Amino acid sequence: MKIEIKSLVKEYKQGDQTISALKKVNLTITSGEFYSITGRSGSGKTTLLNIVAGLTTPTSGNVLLDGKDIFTLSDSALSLYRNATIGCVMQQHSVLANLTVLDNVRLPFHLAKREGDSAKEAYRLLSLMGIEDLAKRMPKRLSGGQIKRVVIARALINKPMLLLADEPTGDLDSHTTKEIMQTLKTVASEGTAILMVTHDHDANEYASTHFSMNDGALKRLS
Amino acid sequence: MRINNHKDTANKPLTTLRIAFNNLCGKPGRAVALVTIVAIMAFVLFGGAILSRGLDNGMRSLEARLGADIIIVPQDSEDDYESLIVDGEPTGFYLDMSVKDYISQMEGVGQVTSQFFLATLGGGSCCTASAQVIGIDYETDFVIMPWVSQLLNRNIGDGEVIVGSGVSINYDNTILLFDVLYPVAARLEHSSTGMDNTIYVSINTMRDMARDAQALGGFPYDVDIDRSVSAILVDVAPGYEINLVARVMRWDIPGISVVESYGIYTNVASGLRFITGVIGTISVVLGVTVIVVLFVLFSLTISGRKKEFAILRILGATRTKLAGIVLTEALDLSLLGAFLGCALSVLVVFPFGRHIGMQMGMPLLLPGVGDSLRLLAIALAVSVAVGPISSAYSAYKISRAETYATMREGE
Repeated sequence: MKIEIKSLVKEYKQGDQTISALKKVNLTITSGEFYSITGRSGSGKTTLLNIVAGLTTPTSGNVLLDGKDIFTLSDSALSLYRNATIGCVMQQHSVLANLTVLDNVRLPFHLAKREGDSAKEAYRLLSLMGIEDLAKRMPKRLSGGQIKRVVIARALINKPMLLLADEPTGDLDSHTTKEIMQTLKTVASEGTAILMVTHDHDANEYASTHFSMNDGALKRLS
Repeated sequence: MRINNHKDTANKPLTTLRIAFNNLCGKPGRAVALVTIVAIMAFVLFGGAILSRGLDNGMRSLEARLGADIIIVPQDSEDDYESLIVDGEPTGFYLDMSVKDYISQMEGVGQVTSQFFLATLGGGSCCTASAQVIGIDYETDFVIMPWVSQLLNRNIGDGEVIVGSGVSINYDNTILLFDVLYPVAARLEHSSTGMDNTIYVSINTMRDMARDAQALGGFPYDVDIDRSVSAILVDVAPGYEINLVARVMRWDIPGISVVESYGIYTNVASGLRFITGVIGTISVVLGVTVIVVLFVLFSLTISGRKKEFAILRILGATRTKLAGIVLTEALDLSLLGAFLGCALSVLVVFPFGRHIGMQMGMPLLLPGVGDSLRLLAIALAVSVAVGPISSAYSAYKISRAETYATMREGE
């Protein structure tokens, strides 16, 4: 399975002005690679992630999954793409307050009506994140770092091909940052590609391929 | 890595129903408010339907029990007669028997019978119950005996009584009337009319009882017991109009009041129409109000939960799934509200139905099990449907929401 981003352009209208958030961005994502994108706020990093996640449509260009543009998919097929092919770690604290930690992690497994033992895999991931003992807690009793780990575990429950991580270490202390980045590196080594957007130089060091985003233009650094 | 034994945890699938249930549990205050609103509606719908049907049944029962086309009573006694028939208010008034003989000879008169009324001495030690005793002339009766004979399969013998459903009797199936103990031959079914408070006896027993009452000061001495009747009931002969025959009687016979049973029926019917109209109007207004209130509440609630639904979209929930969660939450709430409201209605209307009818001054005969279950099913169906109907727009709106824009709102 391969994801190709081809000539991606995203423009916004603001009054009479047209703002280019992305300018002909090209990127091929392959399994097991750990990509990081750095850049100033408003440079287009999060917009790129949202388009790859199929959450917003580009002005032009394509996101190809095995050669098929995801924006030509039906709602159910695009939902399945978000559910199974990618995993999302959003910038915000995106846990569901009415579900326990365990059920938050299990939820994507059941949204696609899979057969199997979701709890076993959820416990494995919570253990990987070092928060197995929090499985039965409600999210409101978790710290910011714990929530981030829950969200990462949840993003991995369906063994996605690509993990999209938007500032995964934002608001976290250096110790927690280190732990989470180490976990992401482990995930990448097991075959899941990671596309991470970050301001954090320490986090950036864990990636294998580095890009910078400047005024919507993506440039490979190393 | 330590793998916990997850067997002890809930490994149930996170279905739409379970997600919706968790969401409701997460906001108990909101859930209770919405359930209460639906419960009020269900309470009024089912309670109103049962009362309306009960009043209608009571009306039919009254119509069936009136039996005669025209009733002749002493002058100015028609209101007392109506109170006796509708409310079971004990009374006593008397005419000379010659009036009956005269009426029997009049043109247009078919069957004629008479009744003798005697009010028991309620509160006194002489009588078990405060009730109306009616003496029936078996030879001529066409009003009471048709439905008494269905119950008893014989005439009421001299010295025995038949009691209405509301009359208190002794444990040994007897009743004390004017210091004489009478065996109770049968108890009539509840009719929701004044008949429920009536004791029926033969005319011979009636006259003996009147003499007993006279001795106890419960019957006037100036009334000739053997030559008096209280009401003369007339069936108009075929081909004659009731109101014309009644008019001739008013002209010809002094000192009487002529009551057309249709008039009693019409008075009660117009009261009933008013009450059922009020109940119907309240039900409709409340139903519409509940739908509007729920619509607004669901819209407000959903607006506050946009991020939650955006997260579900990011995790791969389809638009249909989101709409399903919203509709299931609404369905759960309205199901619970409908059952609670209807249950409360059952607990209030059935035990206190007769009292409610008395307070309204209307005959109220609650429907039977089959009819009640049918009304219950309708009330439940309507109340349960209210939730999904009210939330349908919110469900559609949230399923079409722009996930990307919603998530950025929080940034």
